[in-house]
Amino acid sequence: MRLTGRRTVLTILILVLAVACGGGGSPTAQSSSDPSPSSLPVEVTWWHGMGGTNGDAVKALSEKFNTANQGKIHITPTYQGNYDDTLAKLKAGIQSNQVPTMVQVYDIGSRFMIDSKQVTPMANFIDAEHYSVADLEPNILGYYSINSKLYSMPFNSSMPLLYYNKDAFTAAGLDPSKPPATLDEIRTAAQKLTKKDASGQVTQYGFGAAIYGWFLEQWTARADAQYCNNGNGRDSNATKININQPQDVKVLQWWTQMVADGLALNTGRKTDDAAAAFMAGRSVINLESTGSLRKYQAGAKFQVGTGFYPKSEPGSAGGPIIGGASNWIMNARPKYEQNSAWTFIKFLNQPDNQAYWHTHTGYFPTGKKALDEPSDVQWRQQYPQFQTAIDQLHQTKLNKATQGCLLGVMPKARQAAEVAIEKAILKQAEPKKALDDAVASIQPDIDQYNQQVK
Amino acid sequence: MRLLGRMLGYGALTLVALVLIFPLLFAVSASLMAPHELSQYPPALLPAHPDLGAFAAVQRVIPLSRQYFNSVLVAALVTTAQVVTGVLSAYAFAFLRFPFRSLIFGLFIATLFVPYEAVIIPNYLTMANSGLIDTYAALTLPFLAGGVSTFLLRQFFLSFPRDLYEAAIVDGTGHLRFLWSILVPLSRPAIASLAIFQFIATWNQYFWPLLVTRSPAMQTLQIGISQLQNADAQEENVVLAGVVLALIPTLILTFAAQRHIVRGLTAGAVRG
Repeated sequence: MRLTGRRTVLTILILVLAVACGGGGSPTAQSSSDPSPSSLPVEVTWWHGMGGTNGDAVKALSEKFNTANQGKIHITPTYQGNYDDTLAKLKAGIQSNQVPTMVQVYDIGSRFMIDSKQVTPMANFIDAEHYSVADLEPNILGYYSINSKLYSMPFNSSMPLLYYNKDAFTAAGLDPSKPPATLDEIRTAAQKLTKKDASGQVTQYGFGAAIYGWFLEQWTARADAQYCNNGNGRDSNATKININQPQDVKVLQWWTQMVADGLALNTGRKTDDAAAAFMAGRSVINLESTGSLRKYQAGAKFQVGTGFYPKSEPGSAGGPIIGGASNWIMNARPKYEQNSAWTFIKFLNQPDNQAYWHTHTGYFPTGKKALDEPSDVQWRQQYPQFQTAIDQLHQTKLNKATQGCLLGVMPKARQAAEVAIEKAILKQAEPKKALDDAVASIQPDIDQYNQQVK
Repeated sequence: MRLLGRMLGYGALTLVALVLIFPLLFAVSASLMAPHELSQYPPALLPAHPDLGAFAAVQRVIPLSRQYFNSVLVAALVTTAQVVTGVLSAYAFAFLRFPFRSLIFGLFIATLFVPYEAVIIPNYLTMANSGLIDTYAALTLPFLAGGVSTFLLRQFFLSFPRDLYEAAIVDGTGHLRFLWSILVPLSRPAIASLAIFQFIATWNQYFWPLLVTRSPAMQTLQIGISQLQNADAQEENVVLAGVVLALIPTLILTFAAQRHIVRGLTAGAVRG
């Protein structure tokens, strides 16, 4: 009896061990300061968050690079979940020194990346070999630069645009070649565009955009105002966000009133839902990223028009902020590996590859020369709406406001803004109060973050 | 009259069943649609021209067969281990007498109250420090035994007729012999429902496999599915094609063991 009891315990142990070892593999070597590669080609790992067709383009460009650098450098792009997942995984990886050579991080993760002190700034590589950045779009580089020092290389860049249904404009007697440029113009157009059926149910709304914090950031920049203090977090770490200023309140009052008057469709926070409503013809004017153009072209049965992101202050000189993500090189990896990643980044910046990226994903080319590539010229003939995006990018004056706010807890700030917009639209709070609450709710997070990195 | 009542009953049941199964059917239908059909209003229920293009796109974006294999292997390993460790530990708690039994069982149960999120980083660091990142070991090791399995099976074993156990012992049956020849065959409903529960839970894991894998070849199907999503321009038909493919094993398993599940759910609910 005793003996069998002990044997049972033993059996469990053996079983556990057997399963454990059976599934095992060889541990991966991790080195951080080797002066030269022990074997060629140099393995470069690249974590990215590009799924779907964008992921296809990532794969194609990596394969092209690997073929050209056979025997020297081999890049392995690995999808690591969406942007949030990738960053979460990177944070865990930093704790155990399990980091890739290069990682794609979304715009609002930039401050965290810099403060983590885990990255080698792009400026170091650029200075070391006097690499010319003259071709790269200054308005795109601007977001990822602090005091003119470039920290990461922009990869997939987008801006918000105003999208509209040209057929509905024509049907309502509006000029389909003239998209509304201000909030007041949207309201005037929406009054003509909104249609009701016999029972008083709205069948077509004039306006419909997702409750997306990014839009508020854009309106702030469009009004030439700074989203957070200390030069939008670029002179020194921001200690406060300023989204309860008159221009923000004005935007939110306008939006709330549009929904209250039945002129705007509220589909909630998911951008996919607002996009679906637009493509289905339920809403006529929509705000979305430039990256959505191809989807709209494929999914909408009407002529899709594009216009500049609307202004809340008609006279202001501001412009929208670049969004998307950039590539960062991690300093924990051996120097030769980092240099190989830099070689790959230069490869990605080549006009032909930028043209490929642009035409296969709908993101901006980061360089101007890419726009002259035949494939790119042809693509823009197919999608003339994209020219609006390029014009908007080129016409935006680069300053601290349009560079955008760098904040360690930016993802949380964006969420707080969404809560505020939602509260106001659902009439749970006055717009001013909702924004004040958002500013107050994010303050402890900002303070805590700044304390951690000091 | 009785026939009418029956028909009404079945009619109502069919209706409820349709409502419940609708998302599944629509996922299949939508995965065969063209992108513009998915965005029209009112929505289309059936594809005008069924097209397997979305399934081809899935195959293009992710290493489908490899990730499928990984998911099946990991889920099967974890399920088998959970059943084996669960049966053995539950047996000890239900039939054996040893010091501090209630206390130890209490500790087992206490693990149920530790949220998964709280252990994920410590577990990850353990894996990383042992050099197990990007291996099947990292995907399976933390899940080979669990309080849920022990608890579920112990409750079932407690309802097992004590007389049978004693008769077997008197006849000179050893513990293992009793376990494998008598207890396990008679506990099939409980074991089957536990196995399905564990299989589905493992199959649906997302963050852990994402955290401990590094190469596409080691990633599981759930990560592959999230890779079908495009950050700025969602292709719903492709994502749904991936979801439909991922559902197949769980559906097969559920249908194959349905009878056991239903019996298993109530098994052990009433003692004695």
